[in-house]
Amino acid sequence: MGAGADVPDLTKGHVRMPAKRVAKRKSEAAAPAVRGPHAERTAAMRKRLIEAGIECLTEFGYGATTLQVVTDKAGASRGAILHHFPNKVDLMIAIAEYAAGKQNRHVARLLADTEPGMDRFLKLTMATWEAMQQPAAIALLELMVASRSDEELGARFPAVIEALENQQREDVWEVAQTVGITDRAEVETMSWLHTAAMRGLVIELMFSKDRRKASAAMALLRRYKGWITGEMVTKSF
Amino acid sequence: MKTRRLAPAKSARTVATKAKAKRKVLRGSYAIIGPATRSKILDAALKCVLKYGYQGTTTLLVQRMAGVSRGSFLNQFPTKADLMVALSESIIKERSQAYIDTYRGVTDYRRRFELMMDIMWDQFKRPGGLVRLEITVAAISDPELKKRFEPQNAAMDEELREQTWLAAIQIGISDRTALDHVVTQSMASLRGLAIDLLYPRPGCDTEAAFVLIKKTHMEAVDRLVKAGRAKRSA
Repeated sequence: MGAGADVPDLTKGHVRMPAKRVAKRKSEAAAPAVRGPHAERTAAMRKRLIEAGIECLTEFGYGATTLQVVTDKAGASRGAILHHFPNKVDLMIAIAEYAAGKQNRHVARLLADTEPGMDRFLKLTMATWEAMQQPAAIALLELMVASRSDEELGARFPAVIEALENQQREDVWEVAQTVGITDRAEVETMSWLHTAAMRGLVIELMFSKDRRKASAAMALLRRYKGWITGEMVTKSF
Repeated sequence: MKTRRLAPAKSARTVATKAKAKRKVLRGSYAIIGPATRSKILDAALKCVLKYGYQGTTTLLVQRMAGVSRGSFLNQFPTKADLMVALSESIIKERSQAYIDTYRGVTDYRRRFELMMDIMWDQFKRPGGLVRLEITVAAISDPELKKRFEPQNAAMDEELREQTWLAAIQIGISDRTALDHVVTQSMASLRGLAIDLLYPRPGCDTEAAFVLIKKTHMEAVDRLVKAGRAKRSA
């Protein structure tokens, strides 16, 4: 995954080391300049733990993702993870926030070079589809379902996911207006439906691994969007 | 039955002993006792997953809710995966029955396509549908469950596509691949929307989204009919 590449010089020492204690001693022995300021190292460790958590969620599911498993995956120490995340739900909420941000940024990046207007409005769907196939989005799906059976997660998770969805709704509405759509409720229903459809397809894809089938279904969704958009635009005039 | 409520271990055991004492008198042949225990356990499992989710469901919890002994429970379902696969199977059976019941006597085959969406959505809203969804998501990251859930799911999917195709021929659709894509798309939409049912939140009007799914589904079906007609006259 390319995500770790953002902070190579901060984590390189750890990643290469087989045993975490040796890794720690060696990095201490190395020139202090390499270590960087404390705040940066803390942030890097936090990010590493979150990324490892996302990997664990997509690989093992919510139930099997324990702090210990994440610690091992990140090659971190027990102390480090407990310093950042006193319990599992703390980590899960941090993952949710990180994943939501990542998903939004992913969509924004894909749309960056598309002119505002109809092109952008139609492309929004495919950009979201791409983002939803990323590990971060799959981790969010796991958390969503798990929050039903985990009381503490259930209490804290909704705020995160609602913030993400509100942001998405705002984005969609903003673009929709530029193509002359005036019925906000209708465009929101459509966008809700698209998110649902893509979520359903992602689940299907995780079973069948049949990308061709999934892209055919997405092509269809894009056509559906064309029809509905056409109707909405004509209605506005 | 009183034993439904989650009882502490001790009283669960008492209940089981009592049930055993009673059974001594009532006991029929093994062929009768077995299925009765089985359906009691499946009932309890459904309630348990619905209430506590897949992760929160343990075989011990289900056993206590069902009020059966550990022995007869393990005799039927040695592992949690066994239980979940059987639960999913019984839900599928119920669903197939719903199709048969609804389609009976409907000779307007286009109407069947509408009904298909109604039934699917209705099934997702039922406890069975939500529970199957929980099991589906759990199977993604549970290899043991996945190995056994997948063939079952594929068989159900195949059956649905076959039924749809039979209805499609009747209204003049000739492109099976295109029809398959429409089915894939509609099913995925409903499944994804059903997750919103498991997890309702403000600003999410699932019924309005369903109406839209159904509308686009029918529009796609009508286009396939038209394409089939054009192909025939060409």
